[in-house]
Amino acid sequence: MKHDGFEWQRKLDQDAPKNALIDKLPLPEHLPHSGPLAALPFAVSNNIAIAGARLTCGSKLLEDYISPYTATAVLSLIQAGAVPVCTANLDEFGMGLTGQFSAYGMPQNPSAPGFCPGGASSGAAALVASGCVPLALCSDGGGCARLPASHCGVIGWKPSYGAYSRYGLTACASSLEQPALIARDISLIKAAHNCLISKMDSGDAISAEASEEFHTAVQFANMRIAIPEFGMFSIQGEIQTGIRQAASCIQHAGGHIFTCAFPDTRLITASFYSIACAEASANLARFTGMLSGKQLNGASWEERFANYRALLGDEAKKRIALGAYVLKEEHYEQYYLRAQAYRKQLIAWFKEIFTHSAFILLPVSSETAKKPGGLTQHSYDLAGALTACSNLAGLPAISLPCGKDKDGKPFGIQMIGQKNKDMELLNAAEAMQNILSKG
Amino acid sequence: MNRNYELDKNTLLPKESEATIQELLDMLEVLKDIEINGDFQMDEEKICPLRQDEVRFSISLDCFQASFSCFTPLGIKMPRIIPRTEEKT
Amino acid sequence: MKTRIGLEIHVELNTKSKMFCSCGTAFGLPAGSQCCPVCLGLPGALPTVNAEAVHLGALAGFAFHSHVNSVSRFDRKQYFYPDLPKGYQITQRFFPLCTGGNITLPDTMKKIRIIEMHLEEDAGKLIHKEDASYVNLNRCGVPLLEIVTAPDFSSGDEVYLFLHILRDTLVCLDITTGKMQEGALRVDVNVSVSKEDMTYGERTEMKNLSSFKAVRAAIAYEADRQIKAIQDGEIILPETRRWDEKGGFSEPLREKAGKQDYRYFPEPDLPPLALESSLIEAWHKQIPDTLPEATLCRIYSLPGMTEKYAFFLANSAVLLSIFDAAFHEIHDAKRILSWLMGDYRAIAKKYALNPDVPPFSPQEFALLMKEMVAAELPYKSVKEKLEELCFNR
Repeated sequence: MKHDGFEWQRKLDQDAPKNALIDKLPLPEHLPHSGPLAALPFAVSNNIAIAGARLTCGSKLLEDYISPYTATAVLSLIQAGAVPVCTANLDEFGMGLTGQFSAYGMPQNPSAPGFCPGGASSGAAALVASGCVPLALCSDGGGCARLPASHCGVIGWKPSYGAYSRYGLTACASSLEQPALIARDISLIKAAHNCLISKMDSGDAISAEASEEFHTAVQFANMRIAIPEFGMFSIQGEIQTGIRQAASCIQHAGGHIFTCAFPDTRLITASFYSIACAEASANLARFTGMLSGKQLNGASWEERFANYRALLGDEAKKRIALGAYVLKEEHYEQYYLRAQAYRKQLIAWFKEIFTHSAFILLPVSSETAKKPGGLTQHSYDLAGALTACSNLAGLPAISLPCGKDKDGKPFGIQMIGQKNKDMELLNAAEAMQNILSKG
Repeated sequence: MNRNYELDKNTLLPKESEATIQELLDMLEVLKDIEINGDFQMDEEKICPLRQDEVRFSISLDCFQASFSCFTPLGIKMPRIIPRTEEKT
Repeated sequence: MKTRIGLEIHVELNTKSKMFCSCGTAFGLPAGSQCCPVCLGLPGALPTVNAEAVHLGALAGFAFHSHVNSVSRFDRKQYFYPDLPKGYQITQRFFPLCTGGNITLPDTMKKIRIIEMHLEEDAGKLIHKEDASYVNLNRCGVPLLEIVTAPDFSSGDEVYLFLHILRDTLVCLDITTGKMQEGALRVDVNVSVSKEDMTYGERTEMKNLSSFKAVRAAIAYEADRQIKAIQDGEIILPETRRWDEKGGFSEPLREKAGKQDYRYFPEPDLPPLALESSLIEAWHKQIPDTLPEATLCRIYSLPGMTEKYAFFLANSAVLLSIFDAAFHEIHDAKRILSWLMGDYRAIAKKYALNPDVPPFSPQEFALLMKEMVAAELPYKSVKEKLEELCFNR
């Protein structure tokens, strides 16, 4: 029996940007009629488990691995009537900000052909931007939903830490990441958000008590919004202009801008890397080949494990090496404990800002999309402080399409809200989009 | 498979020459003046929920065996391991 | 020369489900039939804490006079091995569930200190065949309580006594089945010897000895070996050694020894384990007034008491109350035991009565003992009266 699903598949076949797709998923025989997301097709980043589907995580290691269970976040969306139609490519195990680190190629950026789509949720952003799907479920551990969304000209949303269940999201940076959403339409993100808010028994001990919050539409009149200044850290001209334009729209709508000095981005990056790599090194230790489809040879178990892990990409190997180094007994205090101590300071900084401002408005990235290899990963890492700061502090954050640079490459602006006030931020983002389109 | 590199026991990956992660380590140096003040906790108020002690059926053995070809009735097959003290032969 | 022995005991907690997932914990099922994404360490799986495991761990803490901490925390202990699917074990390294505690040895009244008790998950089981090894992950994730003692023991005999008290207490409280042959109780020993002038000697470790007798024998051998070695001017290497039960000797493991860095760090998937004081108090109230340790300390050294009967009584509230009542009347443990544990059991066997739960009350038996002594009743007479007590109901 023919239904819209066949149209979705045709679109994927025809319009999916190169390398954005991992697998198309089998469609249900009948599409759901009921539920807040009835018959809404969505893509799932391939680090989020779907029973019966490959869970490659963008890695050669899991090329043949089929998950026997489905992630809670996916189940929540399905329960609301949505239909997962494909899995999306991503940087290996969610590590990376450019889209270049997948074992399955770099997805094309449909909004900036020839340029990086951003990462790690590169395929998800590309599929949404190309119009193949209206919604993608992906992950954001350091900006990996917001940044590709910004580079591709769509919306990227990361909830408060603990808002959605991580059960079924392949762990990389456990204390930093959350399931995240990419879409073109903010009302869709709001609807999906309500379905994803974690209930009891979600399989995740941290999200077990997430509470639903009720919030009405946001007015900018008399609202204070903090816009950080970055000192020595340079931001591309067009992006700065975009922020200024947003600021003036806010003022025009009756809001007040409060400027403040952004914390040292080098400290944010160092703290983020230390923790993210430490956690990733532990989380990726399970990939030894024992439960994979691959059975590699080796005279001893150790050799077998090593031969299998040799299939990891260089970026993943580097991060695991750094993480293992950081957690060594002799380095633990120096790198890991200090990183967590700085994290406490950062959380306090945000708390102070939120005593007088409702939201923070800042760039998503310091630069628009570069050509592959055009920016060293190192520079990207430093720029990552702008998104990683909210992962470190567990705050909700969203990137909204703002404009294009002189080469026509899109960029977004970012809003950060208070912890567990996700709906408030989503409503504010909606209001922001409205005043930006007018102004 | 012949391996001509040294293995890092902590990662079972080739032992990284200091050079390859040096750039990243340099980036972490900036943490050296951060004072450690008490323990870190992501959310000061969160406490661990306690799960009721009951058996819940998860995934059938058949389903596992479909996903994991290495399952045998005895367990997952591995090259012969020299047993540590506590293992039975 | 001073011998010091410390123990690390792993106790499988008697819960229905595993420590961090809802799989069953039964022993002996076909490989892979008691597994789920969590205990298999599949990508995306996350741990959730078993309430009953925490409860049982706390009960053990109260039983051995430990402080049950209102806040404890889980950490990751990282290493690679085929029986550890995640490549790390979730344990409690920095903030254990219970701190301190002790068990008093009833013969010398020597207190053996407990340093800490913490919760952790078990690894899978490795089976070695001719051509291959097999990893059975059914056991992976079963809740364990690790009990660490101070190196307060001086001999294998002390350890032997201690282990019996420990196991009997844990079994009495239903914390564990205590069946060593099923791996419910595993003992690792650390042995060191030093010259009398107090500096600690180097210690060796022997893991997973199969019975309390094996533990005692292994300790005796190892202490002896170290003493001889030191006397011969040799150096003791800090190493893990294997106890050969058949041969009665220990030997170094083929594996290279050396301190392993487990790169511990706090488990990010689990918030701190905070227990309300009302809950801790409620759990504390569940501990019965008399536990085996207290009973043993009270009766062990009574003239005429034997170790065997002391343990019998310490593990049976019924028999203990009968003994106590009789002892109150006649201070003659030997005679009482002869009747209660000897003659009564013979009657029980002959007439299919319960040997551990006699049909008479403590008062009835006590009066009989009193009469026996006061009237200097002959054996046959007492025996008849005892039989009457059993049948004239």
